[in-house]
Amino acid sequence: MTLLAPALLLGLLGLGLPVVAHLLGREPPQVIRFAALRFLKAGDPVVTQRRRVRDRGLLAIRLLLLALLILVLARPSSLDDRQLAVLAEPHDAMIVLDASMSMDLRPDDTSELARARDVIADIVRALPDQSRVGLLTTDANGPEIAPSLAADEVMNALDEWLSDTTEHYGAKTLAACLPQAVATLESGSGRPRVIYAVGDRTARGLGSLPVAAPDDIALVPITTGTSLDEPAPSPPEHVGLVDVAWTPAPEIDPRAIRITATVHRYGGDPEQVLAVPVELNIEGNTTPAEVNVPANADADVEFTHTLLDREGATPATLRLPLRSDALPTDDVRHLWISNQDQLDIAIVNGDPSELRAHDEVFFLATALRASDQHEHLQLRSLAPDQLEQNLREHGRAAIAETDLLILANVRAPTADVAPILIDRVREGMGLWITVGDRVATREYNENLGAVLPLLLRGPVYAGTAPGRTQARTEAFASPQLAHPIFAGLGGELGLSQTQTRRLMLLEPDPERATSLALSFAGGAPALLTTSLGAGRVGLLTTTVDRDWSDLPLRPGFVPFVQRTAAYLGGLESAAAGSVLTVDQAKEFRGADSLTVIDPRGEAHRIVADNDGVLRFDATHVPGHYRVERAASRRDEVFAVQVDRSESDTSPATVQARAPEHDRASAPGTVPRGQLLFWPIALLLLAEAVWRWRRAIQ
Amino acid sequence: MAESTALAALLPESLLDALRQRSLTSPPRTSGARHGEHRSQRAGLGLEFRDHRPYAPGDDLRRLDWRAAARQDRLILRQQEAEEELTATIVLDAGANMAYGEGETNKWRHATAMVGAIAYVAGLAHDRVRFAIGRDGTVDTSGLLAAPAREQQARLVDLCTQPPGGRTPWTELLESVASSSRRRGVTFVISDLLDVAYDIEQDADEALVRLCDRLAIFRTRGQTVVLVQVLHDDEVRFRWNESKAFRFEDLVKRRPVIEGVGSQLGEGFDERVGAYLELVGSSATSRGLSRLLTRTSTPLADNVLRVFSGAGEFPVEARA
Repeated sequence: MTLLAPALLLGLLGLGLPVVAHLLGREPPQVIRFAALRFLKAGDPVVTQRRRVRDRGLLAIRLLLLALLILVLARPSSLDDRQLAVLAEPHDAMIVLDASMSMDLRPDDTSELARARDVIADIVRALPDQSRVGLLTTDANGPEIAPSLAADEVMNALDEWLSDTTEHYGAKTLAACLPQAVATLESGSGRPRVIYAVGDRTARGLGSLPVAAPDDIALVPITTGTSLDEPAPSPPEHVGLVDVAWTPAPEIDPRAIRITATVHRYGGDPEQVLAVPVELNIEGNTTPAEVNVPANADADVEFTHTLLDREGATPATLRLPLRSDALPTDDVRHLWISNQDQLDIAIVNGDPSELRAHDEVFFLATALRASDQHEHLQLRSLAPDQLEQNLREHGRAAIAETDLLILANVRAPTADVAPILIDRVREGMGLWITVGDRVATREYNENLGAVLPLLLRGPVYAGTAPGRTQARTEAFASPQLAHPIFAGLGGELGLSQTQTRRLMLLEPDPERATSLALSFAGGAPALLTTSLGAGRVGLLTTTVDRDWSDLPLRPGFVPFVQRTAAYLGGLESAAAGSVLTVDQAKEFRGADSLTVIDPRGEAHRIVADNDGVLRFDATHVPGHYRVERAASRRDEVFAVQVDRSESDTSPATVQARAPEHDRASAPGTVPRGQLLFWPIALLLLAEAVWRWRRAIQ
Repeated sequence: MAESTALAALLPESLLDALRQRSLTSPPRTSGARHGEHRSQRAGLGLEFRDHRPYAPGDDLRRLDWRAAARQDRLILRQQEAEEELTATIVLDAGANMAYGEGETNKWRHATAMVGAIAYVAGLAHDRVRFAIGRDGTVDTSGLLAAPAREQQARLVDLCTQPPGGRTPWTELLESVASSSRRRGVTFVISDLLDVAYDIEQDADEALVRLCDRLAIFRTRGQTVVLVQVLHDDEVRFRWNESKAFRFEDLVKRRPVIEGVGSQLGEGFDERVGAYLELVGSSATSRGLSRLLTRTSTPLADNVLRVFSGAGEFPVEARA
């Protein structure tokens, strides 16, 4: 039996204090023999000197009780059969701790992270002399200690971080931290290098590790529970809010919205359905509900809520009010709701046709209405003449409410109305120009050149080369995932088979700040974007109907149109489209600086970089964020939520195995403090009985 | 003077000369049984002319004013001031409460000096002195018995040189005095009057009012009642306002011990004592009793002389 905190045994010295104080007592009160006694105010009795112990038994019980409590605080432990694979010879060690949300899982009163802390303490203690040890966690805000001989630094930093953070989310996988750990271990020392990866068996934990680490570095996976050689035990059952969404519900009320929460139950008895309470809180008003969730399955619960007529978005919080959940960190999610969160899209059809195959509006409207957020979209179409007439009659007011204007194969706006369009773009309106036969390059360059990502050169047939007259087709290359339109896109967009027969060539201009979102396989730009003031402009160098391309027939056309429209229209800054995961960066444009108010109420001021991008990456805390800028066209908000994959505590296959050679084992310690609970309980009972007997005497 | 020799045990020597100029009281007139030096309510055998009145059968022919009879042609009787004896009754509280105070501020020291002074002044005027002392739950009534003045003073000195102690039985003390007090005179009640209740169950304020009621009966018998309240400064202003613990014990040992932090125990003490002293004053005044409040912080001689000078909050003389 050993003590993990033996210094706390010094507290036993304090046991003598009550006895000494009891015997020595306090200073005896001064005796005054007085005549006017009846005028004194009798207060509470004062304990005076006692030089004799009156109740030795009770004193003994209480002292013993105090001693046992001090012993529990000293964390008694014993060596057990758990063998830690620690290299026997002095080496450089880097401990990488899995700090993902699944480590907050509490199979009992102790979380996996607290167990991991004890495991790390065992490793540090078992390291051979002259070994250097460092620490790294998968949490970007966690401690980073370079390897050194001062092992205490590792434990001190770890304990300080654990005491400062109660919930953990947004961590990287263990595998993602490996390169940093490898880089930290210097290769020139000539000593063996070992990475001890401590975590659970989930896909983000030990399950993410490769079979081995690079550069002859030994990778030793260590679990917080049973050995990797044994089958993974079933993790305790828990439930989590894995998704929340909302849509307008105009069939109920023009101001009504429908909020859907998805609850997932991890583990549990497959034969039983678990009733899980769910609460929706909007501005202090809590609405309870309950949903039955089968084991290892999702279940949706739906709320309807009528918002007040007011500007801006309203914060809403969904919560699972569970008294005991093995993983409480994922029992809450935040979102913004609004009944004015409509994206007004005006499509100018420059080449109307009775044949749908040659009608841009048909394809664009169909794609946009297929969106998950189509309830937030308000579509209208108009002819070029209507647009110009409205602009002439009403000026800027004609498109004041328009969030995105799509000029689909439209002849260039005349010189008298084009400046109005440009001004609106500067104010924040999105403009998407798709080319076609009606697009005259010269007029466009003259009238709208200020907003075009690049000036137009002229249309060409794909594959045309000097000496060849046979037309070919051009396919799209993979989209630029770095571009915000395609950020977070998983897999192929579905445009690679597109056959484009004709496309608009552009004039290269390095002076113009443009972003390439999509290009043709031959390298010609297909979709370019640029920012002008607070607005964004997109240029598609082919048609959105079948005149020049079969793009609208491809499966990727719908998400392509939706993503492009959402980006250019700024939907991601509205309530519906403003959800990030923890530690995901948020980018803003159209201002030199702005302020983000995080859920704690702290203000973060950010300024634009050289490209005019304002990047906010302090999204460590899930919750409601609000953006304040000097001239905001709408209430900008966004919510940060925990990625649902972090809730998954099911065990994954761990490929990494500790190397067998040059391996020594060190015994681990098992806390034994719980063994003292019974004697403490018995002493408490004895103390109560003793006092009861004295009372009845 | 033999009297001064015995009472000198109670009085400072320097005070004797000052006391020779004092008398027990000034008018109203007294009504004594024997000849003395105080003007009587009745015309009598004194030397000072008072009035004439017609002769009535049975009058002493020796008191006929022959000159007046010759002028008015009828028998005129000469009336002269009767100089009668005054009875000074001393009711002395010798309970343990009176033992409080050190040295010259001891309450018993001041009280016995006042008693000695009263007896001394009375002796000079050939007045009769009676006294009753309550101590240890009993009443010493030996001073109420008729005895030669010298013997009476010696007995008084003997009792006053014994230390105070125990409880003062106020009811029995006043009854003993009342039963033997039928002539006009002055009754001095010397006490601190802080706790005159029979026991701790009785309300102390109510006990004081009853005490005053009993003394008011004395007035109906022609007695001038003077309440001489002897207090120590500590009993008026609480001086242990400290954060340390104190244990207050009743000098009489009737009330339970009070223990606590000084600042807490003394909370409101001054106000309660002040209210009680006002009650003493109002109760005495409303019943025609004189009340003299003395503090032992005042020099002993001043306090003693105030008994005769009428100085203090209320005049010694009753204002009936």
